[in-house]
Amino acid sequence: MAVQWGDLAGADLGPLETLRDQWRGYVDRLEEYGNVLAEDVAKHLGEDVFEGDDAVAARARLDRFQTAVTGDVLDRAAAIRDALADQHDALKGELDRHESITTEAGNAGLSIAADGWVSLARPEQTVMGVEETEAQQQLIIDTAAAAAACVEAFALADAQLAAALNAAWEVPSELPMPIGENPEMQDIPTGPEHVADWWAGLDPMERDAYLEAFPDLLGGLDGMPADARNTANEATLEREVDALDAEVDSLERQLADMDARGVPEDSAERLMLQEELAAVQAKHDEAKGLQTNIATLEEEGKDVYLLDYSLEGDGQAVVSIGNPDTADNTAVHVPGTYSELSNFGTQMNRADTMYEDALKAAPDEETAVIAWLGYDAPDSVPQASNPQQAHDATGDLSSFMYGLEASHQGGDSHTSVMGHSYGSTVAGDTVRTYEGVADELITVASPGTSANSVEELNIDEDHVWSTTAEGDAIELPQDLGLLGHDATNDGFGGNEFTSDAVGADGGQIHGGYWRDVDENGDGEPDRPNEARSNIANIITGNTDKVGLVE
Amino acid sequence: MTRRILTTVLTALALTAGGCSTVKEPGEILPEREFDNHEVYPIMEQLVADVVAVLPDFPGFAERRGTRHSCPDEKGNEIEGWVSIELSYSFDIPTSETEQVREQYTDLLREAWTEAGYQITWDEASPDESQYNLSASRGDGITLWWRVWGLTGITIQSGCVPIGNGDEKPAYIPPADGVPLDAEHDPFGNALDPSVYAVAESSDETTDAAAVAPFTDAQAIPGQVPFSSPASYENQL
Repeated sequence: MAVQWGDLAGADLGPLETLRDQWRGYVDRLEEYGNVLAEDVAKHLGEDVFEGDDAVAARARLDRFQTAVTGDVLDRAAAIRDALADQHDALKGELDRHESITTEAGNAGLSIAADGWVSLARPEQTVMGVEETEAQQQLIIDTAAAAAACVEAFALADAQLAAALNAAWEVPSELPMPIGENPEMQDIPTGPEHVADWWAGLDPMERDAYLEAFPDLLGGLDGMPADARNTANEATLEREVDALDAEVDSLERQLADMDARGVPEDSAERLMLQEELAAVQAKHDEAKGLQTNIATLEEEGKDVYLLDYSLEGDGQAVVSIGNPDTADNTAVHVPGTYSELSNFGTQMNRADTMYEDALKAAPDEETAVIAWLGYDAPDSVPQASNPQQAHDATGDLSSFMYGLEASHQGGDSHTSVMGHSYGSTVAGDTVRTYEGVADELITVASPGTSANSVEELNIDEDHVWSTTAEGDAIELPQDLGLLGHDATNDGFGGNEFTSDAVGADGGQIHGGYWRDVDENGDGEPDRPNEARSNIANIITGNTDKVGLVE
Repeated sequence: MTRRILTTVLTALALTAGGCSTVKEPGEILPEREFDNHEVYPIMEQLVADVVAVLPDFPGFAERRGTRHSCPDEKGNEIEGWVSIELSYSFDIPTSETEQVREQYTDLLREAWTEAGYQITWDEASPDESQYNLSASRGDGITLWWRVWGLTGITIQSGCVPIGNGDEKPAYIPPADGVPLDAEHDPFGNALDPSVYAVAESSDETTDAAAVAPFTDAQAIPGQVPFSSPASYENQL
């Protein structure tokens, strides 16, 4: 409703003044609060008085809280206070002008109606009952113009105040998470699709708050986007490396202290400490090795994402070269027996080789290749003859694959799940047990897929690919079929692609699918392994270019 | 019967894993090489320069990429002190699709490599004949691989070589003809040591010793060299 002259007569700026004064008080208290955080609280959390992981976390939390209070919240509160003060002054000025115009009009014998109409107050007494004089007419016109300008200015100030207040709150994505409303773990859903939807619904500040509060959980949560998982995992890994560094230092100091005290070399106390140091040092080296391997690939210009890791037991890790959320083609490589965090660099290098080959096979498409050691691989030969560890991994692998689909941006990605050696049993069993895991199944040197034929797999025969190089030691367990049948088995179905035998014996050949061929038998490589071009063409969907065994 | 099967399986898997009773020394797994990583990388760049030299109307490469991978034993464990380098130069997509680079250059390289005494080790089209692989062995463990794929280009493989000087980064060498000097087109440049700078010489003028290590006279240059290098390396390679 438009403001009229009569509205100004009854306007009361008292509530606005009260509000203005309240916001002045809020801002003053926020500034005081900021000073307390900056001076008193920070002093008690200082590096000189508070050490360790808790101290680092507390200082990080304080820093974020300070930023929220003295930055976002204070800025907005001050903007509201200023808007209230400025527009109050403007409105007050127009009310004063309203009063002045009314007084002057009265003195001149004019009357101003509520709608702004100006006329002679007592027309019968002027100009002897006849029409207004020319001077009176001009006065009426001037007064009407002044009244209209006053109303217009008042309405403008009112509108500007409304706009200023709305502007302070209408950009929710820039607002900090309200104080007192911390991210709650129970709000984090389960299931890759639910996770992807939940994350998509959070604003950037909320995402930051959740990543800061629950990096351990979110770093490995399927359905989360790759960049968020990477952020969480890199931060957690850095913290764990720092903690292991400190632990190694502490144990070394204790050993040095034993030296000083003359504790015998063969004392139980010293031997136990040495054993503990060796274990911690090994864990430290594994974690540091993972960081180094990632840094090496990044140095070569690749986008690398740490999608999951664990330092528990033999250690696990999931690393993507290329972004699976935006990739047109995504391949997941599952390694086999003896795989653990300490030798995960080899699996990353194999993924890197496949990534580089895929770039050259399909240069107008984006590809991501993931090394997935998200399971406890067999540590020994007897363990590798048992399908249980493969079957135990199928839930995690299928969840990971579904997560890739859920977090993928844009259209569908062409996905391949590939297993080498026992890893092919994991991949095969996952495709046998779950539907819609991948578009292509690739087995390399497989002891068995857990299935007896391609018909038991939840994937079309045309999209099952396998290879075993001649002389690979895996041929013997393949024949026995304790882990199901290998996909190269006669009658299994699917496609058998060519690969070269690289190595002097069955064991070397088994690990030689990404190595160059020693054509001359002189121990030195002479040509690339055919398996590389074939795998590159399968994972990029160029299947008519794959060399098949005749 | 069950025990016999299990024994057979365990034997096979033991072979698969490379055996569990003995640990092979690196020398038993990897062949002796006549150069380390610092020495082999300049040779690889020289081979690329030599490839460019025999290709007429050369349109210029668009990209230099590379990998530095550890050398694993049969259990996948890294053999400490060894690395394998793979260096790849590619044309851009439109150039990669031309008959000149896909067919004429393939024929010329086959001829040049044969004349150079290299052994042609792979000379084969894909089943649909849309891709081609031509590779040659120099007999010293270095492989040249002309890939006619979606991208056409040359890949040079060092095979596993010892890491010299305790440092994995070889000296910086500017990319071969045509590659812009920026991180987008030369991501591998960042993996080289910028404090040491070398420029390829013509292999025709080098001595035998220089042919093995043509960049041993590399100049040390302080600071960040790669992208403050001369704007053009034309006539320097």
